[in-house]
Amino acid sequence: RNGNSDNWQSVIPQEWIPVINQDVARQRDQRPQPPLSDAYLQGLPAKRRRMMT
Amino acid sequence: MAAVSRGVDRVLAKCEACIIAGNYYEAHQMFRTVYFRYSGQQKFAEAADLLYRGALILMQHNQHSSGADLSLLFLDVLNKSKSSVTDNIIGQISELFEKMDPECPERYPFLTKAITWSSKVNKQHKRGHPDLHQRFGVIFKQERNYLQARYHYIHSSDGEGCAKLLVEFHTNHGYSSEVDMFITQAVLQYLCLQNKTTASLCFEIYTQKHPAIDKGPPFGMPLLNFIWLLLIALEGGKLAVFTVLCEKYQVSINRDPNYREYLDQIGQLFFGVPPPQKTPQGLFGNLLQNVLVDVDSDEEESMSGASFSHPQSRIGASGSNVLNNSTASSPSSSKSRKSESNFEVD
Repeated sequence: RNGNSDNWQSVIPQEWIPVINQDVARQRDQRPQPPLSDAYLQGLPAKRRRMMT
Repeated sequence: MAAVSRGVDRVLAKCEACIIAGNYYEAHQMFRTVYFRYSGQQKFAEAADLLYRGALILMQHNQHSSGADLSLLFLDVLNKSKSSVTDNIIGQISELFEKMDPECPERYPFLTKAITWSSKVNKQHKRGHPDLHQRFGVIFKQERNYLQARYHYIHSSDGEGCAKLLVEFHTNHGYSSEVDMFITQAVLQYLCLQNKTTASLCFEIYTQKHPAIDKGPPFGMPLLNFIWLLLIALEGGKLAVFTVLCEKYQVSINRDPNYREYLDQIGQLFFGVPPPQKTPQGLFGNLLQNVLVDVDSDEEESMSGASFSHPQSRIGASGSNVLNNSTASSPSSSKSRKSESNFEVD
């Protein structure tokens, strides 16, 4: 299953690796997204907006 | 051309005298009469000139509905004569629009008509000419109608203007937890509209100008790094890179369920991801599609209150899925799903 996880580093530019690794760690601690503001939701197409609220 | 304006000048002088005497109704009718005469003789340049100047004079004298009426006729002339998009005409349209009473019922039809004209005469801009959208964006921003401003900036090529708008919009009306999402939403929408250059510029300026974003790249917020790297990845166009990014940043991408769909579209546009198959695959895919159709299909866009229903604003999207387990191929679209899956970037 983890066969992939070594692989990915060879696919992308090497200088991205530390950035991505750090972000993967950060995302592990990421809190769930609080409800979105009207201002943000209004940037969505009308139909989508209704699905979100 | 001198002859053209001399004729128009004469009519205008008469009408202006009429207006100064307070006979607005008469002046308005006179403009209309002369317009119909010109237009019957196919003198479109004269007709447009007359209507533009007439509308301005009327609005200067607070005759807003007469002015709006002539403004709409002005666009009719452009449509009829198939006038091509020039800076001059864009300037005239935005001047009329700016001077119109924001509350007057003709204003929105005017805007729609103007965009339709610009899209018809210029096939490469089927959602309306970006410069025209830009002008509308500026005017709405001045009026602090951020929502409308945003819509038009997304259809313009003014990445810097859009970034500044988004900073202002976010700081005034967004939540602090959304600082990275406001720009992500805009970048993904630009990319769905195949406007890579504007997307990049907008991202650059937004991340520089926003007071709540530290210097980068790289940034302290994963979602911003995702967008930064995505924009670079577009240059190389390698699907494998795109897939890695989507996988590693899944948690951030999931913050707004719509990102996934935008990214599917971007995968197709920039990374050669095949569009979704036509036949439903498997029971689960089928069920899922039905659910989505139900949620999606009711009452089209009648709820869009904020007038986001320009037909031009639709772009085809679809549900291929680089992002859903990379193994299972897309939950694909049944026929009905396909017709409903168009989403507007607005």
